[in-house]
Amino acid sequence: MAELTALREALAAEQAVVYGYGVVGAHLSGKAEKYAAARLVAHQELRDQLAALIQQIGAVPASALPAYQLPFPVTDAVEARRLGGTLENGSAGAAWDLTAATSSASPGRQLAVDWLIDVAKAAALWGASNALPGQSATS
Amino acid sequence: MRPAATVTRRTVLGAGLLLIAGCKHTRASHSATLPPDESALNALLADEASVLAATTDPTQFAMHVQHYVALGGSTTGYAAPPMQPVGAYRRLLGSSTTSLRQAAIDAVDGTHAATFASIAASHEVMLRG
Repeated sequence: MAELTALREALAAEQAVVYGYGVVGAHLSGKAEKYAAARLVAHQELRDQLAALIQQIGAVPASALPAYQLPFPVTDAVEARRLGGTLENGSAGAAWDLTAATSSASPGRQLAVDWLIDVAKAAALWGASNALPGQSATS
Repeated sequence: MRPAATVTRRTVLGAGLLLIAGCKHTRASHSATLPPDESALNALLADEASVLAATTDPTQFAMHVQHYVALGGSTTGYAAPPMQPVGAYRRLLGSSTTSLRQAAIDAVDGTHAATFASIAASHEVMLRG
């Protein structure tokens, strides 16, 4: 049950990240815009993998909300890059939680571990790396 | 970077390593039934100590100290690992990243798993940096 709860929370987090990357990409151009587009696809794929795991357990994945509140206003490329880092770090937190909630060598654990590694690299490229990606102050 | 500057930095970092190595937590090897993930923790802690010994970048050194502490390195006496040759850092970082990722997948304890995965992620970032 804890694993299903963590999967639901992870899915909700990724749905928000996918929305956020739409905003990030809209304020960037050139290589940065292409990178944001690639990250959008990566998070969409992750969202779909999480939904599939929820279905394998026999539950129904929740739909995304129509819109999400951004953590701060985004009006230019600088703020868009900052949002990119914020989204990846938030995603890392969800990956940490899912890693902790899943059982040894389960499909959910394997997904969560590789997810955490992937988003840490992306956060670093947005200039938002830290020593222990995904760990909250209370972890 | 001039060689002299590198030597100086390694000397300073080495001194920092000795300081924390002298404070390493020693894990008990007395029990027939080890706590969950104990052998993985011990191996990963030794790996992190070796990575620390090979680090020449001050920022990365500080991050590895956090990794070391997160793995349980902390308080009682322990012999410092030998200073690693220049150039060993990336090799050690790569092999520890692989070990950390696998340990994260296999860990019984969820918090251990998340900690291993997080350190693997940080190492991966350093490898790509």
